[in-house]
Amino acid sequence: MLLRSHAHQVFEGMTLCAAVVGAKRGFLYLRGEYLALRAQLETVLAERRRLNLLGVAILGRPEFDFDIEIHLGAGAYICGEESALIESLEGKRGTPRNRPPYPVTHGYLGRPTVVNNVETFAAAAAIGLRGGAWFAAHGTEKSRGSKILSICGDCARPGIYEYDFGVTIAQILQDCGASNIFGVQVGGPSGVFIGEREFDRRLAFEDLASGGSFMIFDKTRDVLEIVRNFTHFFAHESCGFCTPCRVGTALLRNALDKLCAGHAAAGDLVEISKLGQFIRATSHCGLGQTAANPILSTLERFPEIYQARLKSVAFEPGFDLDGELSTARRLTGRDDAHAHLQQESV
Amino acid sequence: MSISEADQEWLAGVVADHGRCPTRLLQILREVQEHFRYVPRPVMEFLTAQLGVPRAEVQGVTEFYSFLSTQPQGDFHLLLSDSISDHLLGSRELGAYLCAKLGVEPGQTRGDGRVSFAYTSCSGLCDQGPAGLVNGWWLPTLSRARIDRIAALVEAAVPVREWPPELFAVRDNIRRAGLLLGNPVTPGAALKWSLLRGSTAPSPNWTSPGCGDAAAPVSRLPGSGSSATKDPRKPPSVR
Repeated sequence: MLLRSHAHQVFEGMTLCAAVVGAKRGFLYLRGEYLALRAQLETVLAERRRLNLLGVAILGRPEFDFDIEIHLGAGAYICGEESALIESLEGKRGTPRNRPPYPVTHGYLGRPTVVNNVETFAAAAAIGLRGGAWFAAHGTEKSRGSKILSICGDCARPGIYEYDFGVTIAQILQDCGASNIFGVQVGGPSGVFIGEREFDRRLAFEDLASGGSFMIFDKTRDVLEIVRNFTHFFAHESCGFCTPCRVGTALLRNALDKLCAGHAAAGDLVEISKLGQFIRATSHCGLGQTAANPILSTLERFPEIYQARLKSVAFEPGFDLDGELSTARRLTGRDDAHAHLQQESV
Repeated sequence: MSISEADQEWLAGVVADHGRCPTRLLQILREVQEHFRYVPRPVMEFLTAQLGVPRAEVQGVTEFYSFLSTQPQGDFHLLLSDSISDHLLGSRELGAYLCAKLGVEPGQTRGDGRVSFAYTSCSGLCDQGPAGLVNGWWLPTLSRARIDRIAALVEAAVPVREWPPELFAVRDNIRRAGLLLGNPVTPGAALKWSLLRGSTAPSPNWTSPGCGDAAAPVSRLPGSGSSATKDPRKPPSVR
């Protein structure tokens, strides 16, 4: 939305940043899904060059040269991580780098680089015009300014909502016409799932941080299916660079599948919890460190929902008999009735 | 398998447009994907030679990104967002409906090469779902009726650029404007004020190494007609 309707302001924030740090080159990394925006963004860039807001000697200032080019992604969630994004900008696979050194000293092609999102640059432009005091008068002590949310899921009015930091979840839910709500995923798949007992919590870095995603689920939804979706998402989007994330997200996915199919036992929940904490503690980048959040945050809040799905607390099947035959079925190309095993239920 | 002379010439043009620059590999591969509907092996070899990038890296990049493929996709490549917010709106049922309607399986290309279908992690349109993409272009608020229209267009082989614009209509959907959205900045105003206040540092002489100065070529895809440059092959002029 910012890039559709406020592209000038985003580019202005980038140019301001260039003036401050002395950069000559800027990139807009446009995720592959936003291809449709590219032509109009090129038009905005061309207009800014015409207005002498980009290019050589910007606004008549000698030595203030800066230009922006658009670089398209190609469908990889990990490229939102700043060092993976830089790798992708360099035309490589989007795998996160070791940090330090940080991009601010060793970024694009080993040069000092500022990486920020479009909302930050748009805010920087507004602050450049109206001053820091104007911005800081909004929000909370530790979270100044505002946050733009993309609200979706079970509500009457999904869409874009901007709030000063510090707004309560209950207020947001009321504004977008949500009722009979079971919970909200704040901050996307990497964020946290909160239930109705926590709707008085506030949107702020010191309480509930969000990159902008706000997904609402009503009481007709199955929280385990939601968690299973997120867990599949991370297993798919793991870049494969580090083992805890590459292997761990696949193990979590399998464990959730087993649970949702009704084949898990009490021991599995302990394993899921241990594995989740291990992935969180040992992964290389933010994707792995947050991949278990959907599971861990719901397991902590709604253990009874998980327990209700267990097969038996006394009996722990080590594996799903029929599931274990899937490799053999694939190898032999069989899928007939005799290629399946019925597992006895206890 | 080899690529035709015409294709080779096209490819050489693309590589030249990008200044033979290894940092443009992903951008080049996107154009290759659009042209061939996949990244053929001979193209990888060609790029290895032209860009001086190891063959393993060309293949590695191709296999890393979801929107690049090593197997031919259909002339119409349909993606449906598999995000939970799309699930809530019935995207899985719509996906099954679409597959039945077009005679495709998820992750596969139909026998005649006309159409392929896959689920994708996220379309970036979660407030306007169920959403999908056709050859990279947004398809918001999908329904059975819309899928019927899309299937008819696919079967009639109508190029995507000629599809009815309403199929692609994405809205901003702003419900509540606050500090930023309610106080937009006029182009240039923030820069002028900040420069007046003198908050800028002297510019050190960072220059971009090698081929870094190639500006991004303007899209040659549908909708690029409004582009500011006359020849989309040329980088936008900088004044």
